[in-house]
Amino acid sequence: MAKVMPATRKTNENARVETSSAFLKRCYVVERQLMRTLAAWFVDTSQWDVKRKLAEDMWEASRHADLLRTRILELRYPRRDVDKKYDADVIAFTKEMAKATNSQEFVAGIYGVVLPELVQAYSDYLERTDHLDDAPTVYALRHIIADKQRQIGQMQALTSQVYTDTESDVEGWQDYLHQYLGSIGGYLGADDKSPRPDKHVNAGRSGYSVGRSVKRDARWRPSYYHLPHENKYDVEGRKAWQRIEGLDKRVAMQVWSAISHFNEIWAAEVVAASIWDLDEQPWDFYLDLARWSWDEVRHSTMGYRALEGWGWDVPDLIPWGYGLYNAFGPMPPIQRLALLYYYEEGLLRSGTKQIELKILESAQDDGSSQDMDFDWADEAIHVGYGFRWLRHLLGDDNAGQSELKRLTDEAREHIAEIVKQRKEEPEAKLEPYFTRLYDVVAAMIHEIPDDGLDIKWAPVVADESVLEEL
Amino acid sequence: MFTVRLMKSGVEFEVGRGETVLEAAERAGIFLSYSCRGGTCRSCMAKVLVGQVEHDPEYVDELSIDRAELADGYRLLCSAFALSDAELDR
Repeated sequence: MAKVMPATRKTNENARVETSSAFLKRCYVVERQLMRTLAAWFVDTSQWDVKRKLAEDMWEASRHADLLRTRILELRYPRRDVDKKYDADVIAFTKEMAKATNSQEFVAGIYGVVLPELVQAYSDYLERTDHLDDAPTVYALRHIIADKQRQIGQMQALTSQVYTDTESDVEGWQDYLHQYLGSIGGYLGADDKSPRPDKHVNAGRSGYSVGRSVKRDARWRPSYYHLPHENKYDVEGRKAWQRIEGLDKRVAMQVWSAISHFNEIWAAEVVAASIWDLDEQPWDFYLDLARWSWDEVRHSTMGYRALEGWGWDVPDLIPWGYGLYNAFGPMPPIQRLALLYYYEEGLLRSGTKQIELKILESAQDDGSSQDMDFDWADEAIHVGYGFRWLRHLLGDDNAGQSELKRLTDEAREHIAEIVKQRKEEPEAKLEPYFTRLYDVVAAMIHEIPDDGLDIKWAPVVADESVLEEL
Repeated sequence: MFTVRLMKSGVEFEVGRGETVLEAAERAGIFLSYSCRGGTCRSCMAKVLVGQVEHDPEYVDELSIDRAELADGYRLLCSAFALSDAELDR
């Protein structure tokens, strides 16, 4: 007989390091795939409010995945395997959740099944684990659960306003995802798996891939561009803009900044599509790109808030361009990132954001100044992301740099050619917008003391040199 | 103190010991484009034509500048000190 002291407490047999890391690994894979899927459906969703919410939740999923991944590595999980050896059932489920036929169905599946079941799984984990021994996991999951519950509540409130028709059989889609999740033993991977719902009416859909073109919210009139300077052939559009400039450069800067910010959604879409397209990159790649994409959506929301703040009917007055994402669409993902990086680095190196901030401050527009200030800080981070990851993707040597230049030059030529091809299309001309806007702006302006700022600002677009070369 | 001259604009300013070139330019009221102050965004990158300007050794490995650019004399002015009088391609 052996001699022992009495055990002072009972523990759950599954609350041990190995079982914890295995469960958290499954959840990390779900969060990682959730982030990528939300990114892709953000691109493929046109309704403005739902679109921006998907982007926000995409970024939060990246943070959740990172929390879990960090914790997994603390639980004796082999570093070499953390981004490999994904459970095939979990991957299969996450591929199914992307196969919605439209945004309404997608949102119903994610916020009605995928996230609530994930919250339940995390909550069950908290029930069985020891809050002292496993305190770092407890801290992480409590925060993740709170985030997910907020996401579900906000999206449910939003969709009850936005999706008022019953075009989609969302209950059928939710039922399919429920059954599929049961067939993989839930997020825990329990042994009592139900049969795969292969005969379900929603089974057997073809694989999802992110769209190469976007549509804008139906409340907006279709418009290829958002500012006339993107299209050097739009002479009437520029004239209409110059009338606004004639009111005061400060006024023009305020309006320009808000419209330009609102339309930064295209940059968010380019990055988000790359998150989907470029699988099997280092984890930090996704963490950085998720942040980059969400930042651009924040900037877009800043613009929308400013426009709405002036009391404007934004869909009626303000163009929301679809052209830039669609022009980027056919390019390989690395080339899209290369061109975006070229644009963003160029804008910062020319000091554009610094100058614009000074003008907004001169206009005593506190809100727009604050927006620009934070936007400027964000864009600096993005250039760092572009620098780092394009070198990773193409090589940090002369050959890699030559390829980066070749891809960028080719992409710039492609964009310039599209501008030329579409120059006569009505959706490429913005004169009607800015003629209407002039009257609205002129009726709102008021006088302030002139601070004497010598304003040399003129509207710039991302790649003026190519437009001039045409 | 060393003197740094921006060749394109013709202005010059004094740079003190332990002060980055960008900080010195701001102190002198001279506009230089910058964004991050941390060597990330490349907004302040300039070519050193004459003189010695070197990056802060504390985080030189974290800067967003590649070997070829360094070899060509480029420096990120937010993260670089003047070690002699210098002329920059700005």
